[in-house]
Amino acid sequence: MKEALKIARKELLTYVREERILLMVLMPLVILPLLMNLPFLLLGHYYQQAENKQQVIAIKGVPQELQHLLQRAKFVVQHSQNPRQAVQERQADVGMVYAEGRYTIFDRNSILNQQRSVATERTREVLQQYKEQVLLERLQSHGLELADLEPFAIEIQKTISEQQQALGLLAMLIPFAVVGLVISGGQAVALEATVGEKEKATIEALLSAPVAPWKLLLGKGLAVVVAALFSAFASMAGFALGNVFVRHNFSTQIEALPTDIRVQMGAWALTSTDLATIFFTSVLFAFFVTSVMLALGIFARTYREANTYLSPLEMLMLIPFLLFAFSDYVQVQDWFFAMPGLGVVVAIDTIVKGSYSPWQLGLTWASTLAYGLLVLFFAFRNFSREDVVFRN
Amino acid sequence: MLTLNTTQTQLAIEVSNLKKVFRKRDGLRGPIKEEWALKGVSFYVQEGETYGLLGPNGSGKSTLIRILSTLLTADGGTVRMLGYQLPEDETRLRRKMGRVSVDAAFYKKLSPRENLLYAAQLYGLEPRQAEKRAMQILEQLGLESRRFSDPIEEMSRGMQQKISIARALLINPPLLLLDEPTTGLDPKSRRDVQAFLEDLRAREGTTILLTTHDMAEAERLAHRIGFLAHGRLVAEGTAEELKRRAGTPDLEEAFIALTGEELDEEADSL
Ligand SMILES: Nc1ncnc2c1ncn2[C@@H]1O[C@H](COP(=O)(O)OP(=O)(O)OP(=O)(O)O)[C@@H](O)[C@H]1O
Ligand SMILES: [Mg+2]
Repeated sequence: MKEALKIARKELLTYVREERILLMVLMPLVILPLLMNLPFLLLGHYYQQAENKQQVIAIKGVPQELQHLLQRAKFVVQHSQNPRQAVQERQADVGMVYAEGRYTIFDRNSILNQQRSVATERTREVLQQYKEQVLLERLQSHGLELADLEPFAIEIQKTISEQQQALGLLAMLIPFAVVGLVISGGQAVALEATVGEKEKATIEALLSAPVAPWKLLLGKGLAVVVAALFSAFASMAGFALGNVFVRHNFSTQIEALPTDIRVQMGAWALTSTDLATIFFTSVLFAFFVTSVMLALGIFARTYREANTYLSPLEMLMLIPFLLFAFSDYVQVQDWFFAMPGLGVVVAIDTIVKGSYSPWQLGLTWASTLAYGLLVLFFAFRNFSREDVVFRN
Repeated sequence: MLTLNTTQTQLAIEVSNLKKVFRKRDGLRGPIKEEWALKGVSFYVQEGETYGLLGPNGSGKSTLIRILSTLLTADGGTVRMLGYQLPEDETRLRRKMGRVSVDAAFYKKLSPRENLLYAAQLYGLEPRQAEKRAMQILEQLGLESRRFSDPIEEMSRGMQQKISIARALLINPPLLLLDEPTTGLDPKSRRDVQAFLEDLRAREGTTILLTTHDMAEAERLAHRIGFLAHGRLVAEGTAEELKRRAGTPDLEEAFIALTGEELDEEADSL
């Protein structure tokens, strides 16, 4: 066991020496959170500015009463022969024309932008207010109230769990991130510890040392598992810390965001039990991935060969992601939970959504462990066979 | 001429009828090709003796050394070393053998110090003592100790080879297997290494099996020399004996004469 730890330590040291340590820390803790949050912050900043700014509205044919309402809503009202052109030429933030019983609002945003501009939204609100005012006057002349026009209310509610709603985009991202980062995080160490030793011929000195093959494998495996889990959970920490940091320091920008965008941004809403369950699932997955990589790494003669084997496997791993992207239309079956890789994705997905069942989780855990042990057996067999280790 | 104090009669290495075949498939479906790298090699090395193996490229020298160092298993014949049998006692034997190969293989990102300590840990040595011993050896080999912590990838081949020798000697092994230890070294480094080996042998009585392409090195270091060609030991004896048998004044000509074409074919048809 002591030897295995020494071996693991050396593998990690070699890995860290490759000047990857900076990337290993910067990537999950700085770059990822930045990429996640910067768009929201910029958008929030823009909305905030737009809200405080006096908006210019170009109008034509608009009645006096509505003009007053617009002014009260902090609009600078400009009369124009062609409000549409005024908006196009950026002389006004929004335009409004009244003709033949129809109000037309001219929005400035490009066709690619799904959102309407802040000025447009505000104009619409004013117009709605004016409409209700006119309506009320007419109703009252007939002895009716506004409420008489709405005999019942309509509401649409999402059935997804509160936790999933609270997590927003994070709910979608976490299963991707954990599975993807466990794979990519372990790979460099696994290859360095296997084909790397072959290419540098250090494997001869290693194998002629009085250390049992299973201890060598254990040491190397330990290093790969640690690197894989570090990569996945440093990123999770990055998501969580980034989210908390942004919410704490940029609350005004976030408040300024329209509700639907704010919901997307999400908040770190995982309980510690969820985290522990995800961690345990990831440990098993990392064990499986490590076995696969060591088995292939020992079999391959060169880095290039190892990559030839690993690339299609990684492509296979993308299939769950595809399925996952269509999750609104695919009915998740129990057997999904027993598939290698796919099981882990759906399992973590259910944990995140707060809708997991012990039976399904157990299926994923047991199957992942079984696959891992099976592949480990091959890795071990490869490792003790000279015609594999010294393939020429 | 080198002579061995023959009061020691125990054998450190006893190899008999050793065979090794490499099987290779031609393409994906092709027939399996067999290549016999060793076709029945027998020799012995006495305790404290230095035995030199000379042979052209591909004659099977490295394969022989790899079998003795337990990396490969033989396909025939027997190996006894230091009273142990291969492959049964391989773990015990590993603790008693040091090995240096042609290409000094190291973890390039680690310093010599870290490489040596890692090796020491694999052999269960106490790190502090291992370090002290490594420093001593490197100093004797003429390596400045201030370079001890630089990354190994910044070092010349000669320096790396010296560190590789230090690594093999960390465990102070009674048996040393050297596969072309001086190939690629400059004359000065080569002499450093040779002098070190002579000194080591005198001090510790280490048994050495050495392969080389360098006739002068074989003459200087080896008590006895074996000529290996195409997986067979074609001649064996002291340098003087070999030269006498070939009727040539120097070892290189004896080598060419004794491993020449006719001799190969004769040996193969036996
Ligand atoms: N792992 C291997 N797989 C297949 N064939 C091998 C392998 N190792 C060695 N051989 C073959 O065995 C033969 C002996 O090789 P070996 O490396 O022992 O020669 P050598 O005497 O050390 O040569 P050199 O002087 O070039 O080092 C060669 O024909 C080589 O092609
Ligand atoms: Mg060789």
